[in-house]
Amino acid sequence: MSEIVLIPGFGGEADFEFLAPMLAREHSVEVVDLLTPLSTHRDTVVIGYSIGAAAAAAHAALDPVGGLVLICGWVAPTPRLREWALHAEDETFARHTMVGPESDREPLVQSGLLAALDTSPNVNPGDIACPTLVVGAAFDLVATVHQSRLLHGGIPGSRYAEVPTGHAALLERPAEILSLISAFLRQSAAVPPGMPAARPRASRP
Amino acid sequence: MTERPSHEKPTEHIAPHTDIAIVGAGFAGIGLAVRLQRAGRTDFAVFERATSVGGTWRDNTYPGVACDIPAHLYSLSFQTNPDWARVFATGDEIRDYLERVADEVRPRIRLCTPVLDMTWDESRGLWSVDTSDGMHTARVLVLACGRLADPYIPDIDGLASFAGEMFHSARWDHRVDLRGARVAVVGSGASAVQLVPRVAEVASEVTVFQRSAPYVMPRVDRAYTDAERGLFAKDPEEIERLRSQLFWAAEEGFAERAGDQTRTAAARLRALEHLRTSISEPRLRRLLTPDYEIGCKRVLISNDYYPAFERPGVHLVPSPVVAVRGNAADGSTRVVGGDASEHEVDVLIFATGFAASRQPYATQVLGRDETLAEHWSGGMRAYASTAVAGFPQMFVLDGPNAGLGHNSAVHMIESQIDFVMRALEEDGPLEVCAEAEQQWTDWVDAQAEDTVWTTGGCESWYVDPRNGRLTLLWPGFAHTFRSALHDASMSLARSNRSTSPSHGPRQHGG
Repeated sequence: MSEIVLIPGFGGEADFEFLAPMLAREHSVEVVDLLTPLSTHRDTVVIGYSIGAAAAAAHAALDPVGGLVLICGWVAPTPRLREWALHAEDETFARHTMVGPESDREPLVQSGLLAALDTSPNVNPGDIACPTLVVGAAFDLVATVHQSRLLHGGIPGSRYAEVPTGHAALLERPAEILSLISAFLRQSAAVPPGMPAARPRASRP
Repeated sequence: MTERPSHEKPTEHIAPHTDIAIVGAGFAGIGLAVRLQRAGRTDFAVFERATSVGGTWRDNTYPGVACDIPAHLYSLSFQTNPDWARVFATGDEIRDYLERVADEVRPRIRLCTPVLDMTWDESRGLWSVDTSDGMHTARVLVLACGRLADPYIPDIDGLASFAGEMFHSARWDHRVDLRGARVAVVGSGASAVQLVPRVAEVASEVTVFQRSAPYVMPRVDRAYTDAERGLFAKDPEEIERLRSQLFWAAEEGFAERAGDQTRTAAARLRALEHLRTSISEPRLRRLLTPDYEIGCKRVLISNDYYPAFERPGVHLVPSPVVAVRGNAADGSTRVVGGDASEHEVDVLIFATGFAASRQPYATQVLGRDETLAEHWSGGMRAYASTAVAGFPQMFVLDGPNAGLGHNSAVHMIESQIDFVMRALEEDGPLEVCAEAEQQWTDWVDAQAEDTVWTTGGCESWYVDPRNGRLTLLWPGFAHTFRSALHDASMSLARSNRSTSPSHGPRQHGG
């Protein structure tokens, strides 16, 4: 039983539509929005997605928490991300570029992303002291998987996992991400940082 | 303790011995056999009572038999098949697949060899396995007897007097010609939903006796193209990608069963919309509307079950069969429904499921001081769904809380096979203590508390009628079952190496 705070991306609460009730079966869960100042304890686990991951990372760098999960986040908004946000005013473009090649799911698309990106904090990953799970998305054309890998590289106590999705990872593979988070919550004390994240396998060679 | 057959006379003669004896050659038994052999453990025998392998897919040959889980997912991860014709496989295809998988271990499978009794021999630290072919001993016993192996036929007043043909759906009598016949189908579960449309195509009349209405979802099926199958054959990674996609998509379905009212409601509305668009007649629609929450009983998928009722000659009786009555005047027999309606039929087909919560094999297993049936008198229970206190060096596959309502049973079987493989790596005796089994059972019972299987207001075979415990299904995600069994096998191994008397399960609270 952990106390968990979920920070969604631009999609708001809908981003955690699957994760929030499933995590709430075993944990105390609160979904916040980007504008609310975070109040956490030393053992709170903060889970952020997209710009919510950037906010979660910035918070954890300043205010020690018990654990951190960063899904499709970034170290800093890249020129590429800004350019995508600019073009994302075209809903069709945004929808098609948010999901991976195998998905037939339709992400919600917001407007005003470019302005919102200006609120994305820069963070020094080296300041994050807690056990951290970084989840990158292999086909993320928005934040790019490279940004997730950089977070992993910079955070001392980080484990890394990758899902085969676009930026809309929580829409495409919510159950797989739940399994990664569950394993992280269970094993963060037992597995030395720097090791790959444990992941239950759907299939074995 | 029940009286045992008197086979326990001293077996001074040398009974054939293998390190491992596996009972049953279905998905679980064959899957374990292949894994053992590939790991270099070739000292095992598989005992199968029937004339061929395949378990439930051998037994169920009724018209329309097919699987409800996508074929690429409903197959063994270490023996994938690029050739599945469609998203969902037919029973024939799965049976052929299992025959091919079994080819790898065929010399070690003993067909037509029912196991009569299995008895733990404390002095020798062995299992004595009494088979139709004589005594056999083994260090380790694996019960891979399945959970849908023994047909259940309800106790119906006057049934023996039925003058026509009758059989259970899992023992289909292919000699009986249904063309033009008046057929009664008892039951409206997974088998009935598949066979009723096929029977309705040829019979003159079909009367379906429904104890309670099932939820039926559309079956989103299609054929794989030649290009897709070619790609699966040339690049097995493509199968892995598809399996992963299918698995994690199916996992989301668990949220409909527990903890997420929004998803439960959405699923219910999808099913009811399918009913509404399929059946126009208000009374029929009402009779086909379930009176419990979706998921409490198995959710079925079919595009042709509902339309079958719109055919002339197909009737729905919203009650079970309560009696069979002979008519002395004309020599005919009538099937009587709980609504007092009487139906003259030529063929009576029981699609009434299986003895699931009280597995018949449990009466044949004698552990340290009781039979498995006695141990399970309060409902099936095992540590990690697989190891039973008081039954040393024995593993149960497809046993307590190892079924699923939302994802592939084969994945569950493989999780248990993994558990057995890891346990076999230990040198010492393998046994769980009663305390560990109890802790595990308490934990599983607690997990079941907020699920639709215990709260959904239905009577299902998932729940043991003796005490209301959910004993057939795992009340969680398939991936949680795998990680829980992984951790359990590790803790089993650790405590086996230490002097600790307890093999406490690790709690999966997170």
